[in-house]
Amino acid sequence: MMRLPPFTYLAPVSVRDAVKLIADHGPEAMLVAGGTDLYPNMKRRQFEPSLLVGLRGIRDLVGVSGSARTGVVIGAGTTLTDVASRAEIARHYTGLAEAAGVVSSPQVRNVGTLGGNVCVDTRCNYYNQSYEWRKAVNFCMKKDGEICLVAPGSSRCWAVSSSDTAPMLWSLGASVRLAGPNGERVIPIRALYRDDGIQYLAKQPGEVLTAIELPPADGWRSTYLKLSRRGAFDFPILGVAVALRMDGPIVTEAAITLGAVASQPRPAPAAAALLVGERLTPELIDRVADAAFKPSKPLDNTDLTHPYRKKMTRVFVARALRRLATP
Amino acid sequence: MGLGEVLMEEQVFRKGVHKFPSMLEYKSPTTLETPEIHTILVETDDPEGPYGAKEAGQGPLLPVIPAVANAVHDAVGVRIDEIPITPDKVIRALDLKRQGKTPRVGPERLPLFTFPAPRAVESAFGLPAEDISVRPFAK
Repeated sequence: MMRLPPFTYLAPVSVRDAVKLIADHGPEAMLVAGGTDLYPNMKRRQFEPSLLVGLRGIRDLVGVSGSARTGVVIGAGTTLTDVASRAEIARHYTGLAEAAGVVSSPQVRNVGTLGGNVCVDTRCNYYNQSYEWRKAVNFCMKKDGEICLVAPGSSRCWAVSSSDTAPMLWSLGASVRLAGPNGERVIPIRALYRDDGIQYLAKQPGEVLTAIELPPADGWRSTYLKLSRRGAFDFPILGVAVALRMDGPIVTEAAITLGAVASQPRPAPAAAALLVGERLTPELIDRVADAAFKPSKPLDNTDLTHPYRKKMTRVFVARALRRLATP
Repeated sequence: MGLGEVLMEEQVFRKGVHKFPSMLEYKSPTTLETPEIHTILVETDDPEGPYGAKEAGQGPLLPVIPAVANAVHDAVGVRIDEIPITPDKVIRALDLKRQGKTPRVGPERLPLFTFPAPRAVESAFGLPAEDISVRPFAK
């Protein structure tokens, strides 16, 4: 049985207190909300913080406000079950409700938060294993080792972005609100991520993600498809997040983002550009799916084989577009 | 259990360690993968088993594996000769079929092994083996 390392848990009641605690304690402290990803990683000794600053007691972080007309603000501490079941989100930001609703299992969704899923650690077959297993393969670049075991000649880590909500929020044009010692800032979600398996977030270590802001729905329709071996529990091995704005039968704006094929959500702008100004005919859908195939470059560091995951990109993009074509 | 074995469970070694060491990678079917299971109890005894017992319990999963393999063949016309029967193996076989080659995916060779003939010793009820009149699977 794997045990957590010993740690001290602090429970601030405001964001300001949380930011101050992290600033005071520096690198030995980590933030934790639901903990559904952090605690298993701590049991496997990927992280060993001596101090955890808990965000669950901060009421300001929980809740959904606004409307589809003016834009919706979701507190980062809102559970995934809550996000998936809110009527406003399910009706006007359908893809986000779908993405939040397929994360792991109902028990994890009841505890896990949207902010946590947005910031979830990148994953790899060689990294997310117990300490003894990793020691047997001499560790890997992301934790305790020298080389990347997936791409031994590479100078960077290739751990995979494993969030379901991140590609969907990217396609929806969301922004994130970060609170740090120097104040608050709002950045588009695409500026939050970096294409590296180890430093995958552009958020400063002392900053707390407080809210996710969705733009007004304004006729956008969205959907999210997840590829995994089973219907529950599994992290995505491919995620396809498509959002379309339509004026009758013509597409006026489009966004396609692929998840779990790189260390950050991978947008497919060339494929999305093909849709603008066109009707969603089967021929166009096939052409767009072919164009979305190119940016999808998975490596062999998750379940199933990477040629299969790359092949499924085309199938899933086509499926998502067909789903959005029929209102 | 049989469904898990034929569709998901895989014990592979890579670099001298398990490729799927934890329960997250070594997949078992969830309620979303499991169909309705109808249980039929066959309440007889097995004359060749100790005190009439049949087996320890995992026997009924044996026919599930060839049943699913045959179902895949019936559905799309390909033969997958190894478990687990995963989607990427089916797609590889479909590609072979499209190219006109034999649509089989599986190990190319098996080790040469001659199975010894089964030996019947004594039946459950103390009778010598030759006295068992009905032996459905013996030649």
